[in-house]
Amino acid sequence: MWLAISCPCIEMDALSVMGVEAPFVVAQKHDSKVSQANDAAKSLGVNPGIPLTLAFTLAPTLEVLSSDAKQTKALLESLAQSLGEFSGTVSIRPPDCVVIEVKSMLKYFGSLQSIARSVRSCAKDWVSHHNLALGPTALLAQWRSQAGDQYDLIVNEKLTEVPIPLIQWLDKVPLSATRWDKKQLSRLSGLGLKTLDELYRLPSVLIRKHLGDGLYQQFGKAIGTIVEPIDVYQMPESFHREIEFDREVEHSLGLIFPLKNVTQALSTFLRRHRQKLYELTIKLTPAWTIEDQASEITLEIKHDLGSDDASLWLELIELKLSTLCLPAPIRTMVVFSGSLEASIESNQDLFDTVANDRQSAALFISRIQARLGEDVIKSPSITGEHLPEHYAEYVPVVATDVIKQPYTQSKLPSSPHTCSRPQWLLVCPTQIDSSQFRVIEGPERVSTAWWKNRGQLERRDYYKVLWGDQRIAWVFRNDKGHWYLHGWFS
Amino acid sequence: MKTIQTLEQQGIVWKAGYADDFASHYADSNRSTGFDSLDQELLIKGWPTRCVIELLLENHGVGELSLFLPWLGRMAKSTDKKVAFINPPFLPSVSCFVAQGVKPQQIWLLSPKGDKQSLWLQQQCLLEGHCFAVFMWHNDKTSDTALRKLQLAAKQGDCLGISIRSLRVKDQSSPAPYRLLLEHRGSQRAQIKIIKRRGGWSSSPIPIKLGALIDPGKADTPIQIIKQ
Repeated sequence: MWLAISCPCIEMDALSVMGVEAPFVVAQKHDSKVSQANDAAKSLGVNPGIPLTLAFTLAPTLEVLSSDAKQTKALLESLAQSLGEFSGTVSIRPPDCVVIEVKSMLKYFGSLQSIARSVRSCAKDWVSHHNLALGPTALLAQWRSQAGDQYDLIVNEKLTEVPIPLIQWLDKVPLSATRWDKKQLSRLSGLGLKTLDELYRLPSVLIRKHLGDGLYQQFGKAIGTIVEPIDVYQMPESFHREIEFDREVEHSLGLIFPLKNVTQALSTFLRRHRQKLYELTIKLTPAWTIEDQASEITLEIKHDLGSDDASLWLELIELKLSTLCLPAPIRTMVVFSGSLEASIESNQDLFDTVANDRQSAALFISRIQARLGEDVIKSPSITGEHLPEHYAEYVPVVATDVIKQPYTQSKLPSSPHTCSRPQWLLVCPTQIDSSQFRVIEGPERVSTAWWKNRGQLERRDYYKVLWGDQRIAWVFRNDKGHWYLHGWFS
Repeated sequence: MKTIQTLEQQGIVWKAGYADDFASHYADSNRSTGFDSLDQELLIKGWPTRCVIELLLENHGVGELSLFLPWLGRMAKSTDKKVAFINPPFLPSVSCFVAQGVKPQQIWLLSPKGDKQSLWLQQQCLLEGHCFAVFMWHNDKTSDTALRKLQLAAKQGDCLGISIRSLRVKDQSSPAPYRLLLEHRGSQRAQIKIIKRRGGWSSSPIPIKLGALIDPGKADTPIQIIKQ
């Protein structure tokens, strides 16, 4: 038993133009006929199949978009990946149909209705319109779904799990649903054949003799007399999506809309592979470049924790794009996955709020880094060195480290003179004049490690001093007698 | 013409009648500033929560960190949340914070570029609830709208924002519910004056003893230079 999902508006769905109220149609490249039309266009009499010239006569404000074969194929693949959740055998039937084997999954899902319900809900995430149909063979299910909703047993609630005779499967299914070429269809029409059941009633020898071997083979595969080799869809190992914009995108945030669909497809890809993504790359090709300028803009979006969540990746991309200034309008965009890792679901204590908080903090860091860069957020790492400026170093925070931090305070290397250290330290000591201050306390001698500094020993005598404006500063005098300001007691 | 409701929404005025409810709701021994005289002047007997405090200074290094260190240490011991410094003028000395009980991983140093990024980051830190204190440095040009956004973010994120500004803006209005003026008086004690606060009028100067400050009276000591 096979279930077919055909998507009659897939070309429009692939162009992400659903919901546009103005009348528009999609036409194949190098073809002057309307391929698909939206509801507004249909209400003006512009139906698929009519010439574009007639369409413009009917609707002068009509907008024509050319179909994007790559996008359509990618959308169909995403749908196939999603449907992989319901069956191990998924086959893509271009340009708009996917078939899945469902008989072997009945035990798991309970009933055909249950599978159909889940498949319908899944298909709604990807396409605006779809027809579902069952069939005893993959090809017949495909033809039935292409015939439209009126032959959809699930919609009409005529579905039973009792074996249905073949003639009933073929009943009233128009021959046009087979999408055979026009010559064949007109020939069959000339013979007075309109539906599949009428064709089935003809002796097979006559079909082969008068209608050709090709049609006989096709029909045989549909009714199961000839075994059809099924081309099972294999998921790619990495995610790659290329979008060529019909109109150039001038503002970086204008890329968000097409990226919504891409991140959804990415999420499906990751979930089907049971993987988490750590790095996503987006390459943008501007319409033009000037000298010394790269021909591509590359954006790398990293998430240290890894995720398969579409909304999170979209948010990280949005944060990155919000700081990007496009040098020229964008013509094409390529999105591909970077490092992937198997997603391991870890058990978590229901009442462990600390772990949840840390997870949330790590996510926060990742968001900040996605927008402002990795070095923007730093945390001190204590080295325990005796030199004031080396006691701790501020290093970029790694999101994964936030989760792994120990719950209890580990023993920290103590600073020898914590109380005598200022609260503010200058990044680099600034040379000052001895007339700028009066000494309060000191000296405290601090020597550099001669074994680290190419054998050179630098001695510093630190003093607490009263600055001219009554502030307390921390200054030192080096071997050469120069005075430096190193911090403020605040 | 602005109505009293508009002014209240903008955080310019605050209903004094709410003071008692507010004080009883947020009173918490953990909020104590560590300075008894200052606690007595504050509505919840300690640093307020869910708001932005404006701290006005003549110059950096007059005790702005020492003023908050006792509270920071106490809070850090009771929570896993962080204390964030956004574009500070100098590096916070880790040893001082560690001595107070703040774990190194609880200190975040954030260095965004430009005012726009800085404001966004301040808002995020206040809003997201991962920090219990956010230290921010604002210049004279920081708009009331920006400060109001930060105030709302702090309220939503249950965080205390500390906006450190120059003494020059003392006479300007501000949406911050607390405005404090910190002066280093040339003695062991600094002086703090509350210009604006919830539940009271501006206070008279409050003398406080900041732990790390040293009596400048000792400054008569001649420079002792060890012969090399």
